[in-house]
Amino acid sequence: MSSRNACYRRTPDLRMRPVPESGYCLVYAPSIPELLSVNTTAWLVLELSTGRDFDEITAAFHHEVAPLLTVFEAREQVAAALDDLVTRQLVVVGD
Amino acid sequence: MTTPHDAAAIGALLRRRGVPERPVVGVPVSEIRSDNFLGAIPTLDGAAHGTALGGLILEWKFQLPYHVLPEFLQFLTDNDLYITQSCAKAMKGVHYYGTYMGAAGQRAGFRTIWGYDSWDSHNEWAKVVAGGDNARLLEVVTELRSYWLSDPDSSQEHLAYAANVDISAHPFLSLTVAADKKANGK
Repeated sequence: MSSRNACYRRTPDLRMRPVPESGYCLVYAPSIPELLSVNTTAWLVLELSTGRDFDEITAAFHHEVAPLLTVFEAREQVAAALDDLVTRQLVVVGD
Repeated sequence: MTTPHDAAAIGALLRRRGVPERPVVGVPVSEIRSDNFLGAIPTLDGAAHGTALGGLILEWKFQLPYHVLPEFLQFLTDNDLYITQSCAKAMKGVHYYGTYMGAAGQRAGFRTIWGYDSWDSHNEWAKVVAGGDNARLLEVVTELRSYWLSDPDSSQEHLAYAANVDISAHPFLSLTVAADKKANGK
């Protein structure tokens, strides 16, 4: 994962098709181009990637899921989700 | 269920599912429901040749806002024949039969019709996804798919050529027919 000070932002022009009854969201980025599926956990992290840094995303994520996850567990999940989302080019990293 | 559009709504959905799962970002896996699944695709023989589109048809159904209509129709004008001919060249058993617009009564509703010779023919898309000489086709079909995807109420459906369906070759269909006969005293 990038520096903890980096900001994370959804790739522009993402097209999203929520499938809430099945707990996932289909995501398509015209620039990739590949149709992807994100589960609810990754979907929430994607939604929170609005230019926030890692700690801000983690705090917002934990706010939604506490006390089901501890802060430590939330950090782990956010880190894993951001790794995947950045690798898949659904989220871009900036300063 | 309402469609979540913000973090709070997605958070609520996440909590409703209990302890959050590990995040997963991946290629979606198609779901085939077994209660009405025709595994053996009818072959086209006799009169069906030259009249039926194919043993297996896939129909994409979607609607677009009117402001997108000029752009989409231009896209089809530019690419429809290209998709048909390129699919025939790049893949075996995969056929594109065009995209059709509602001609009476519908709003800007569309149907895109694909033909497959078999379920396995779907795997032919791997050749296109790999890019290379098929990179342009990949780009164009992806764009077509993005229009389908832009409609949150879009759907798709596989249809088998009904005249040649052998009920006895489909166990669950046979079971369903038997259950209905029993329920109706037949």
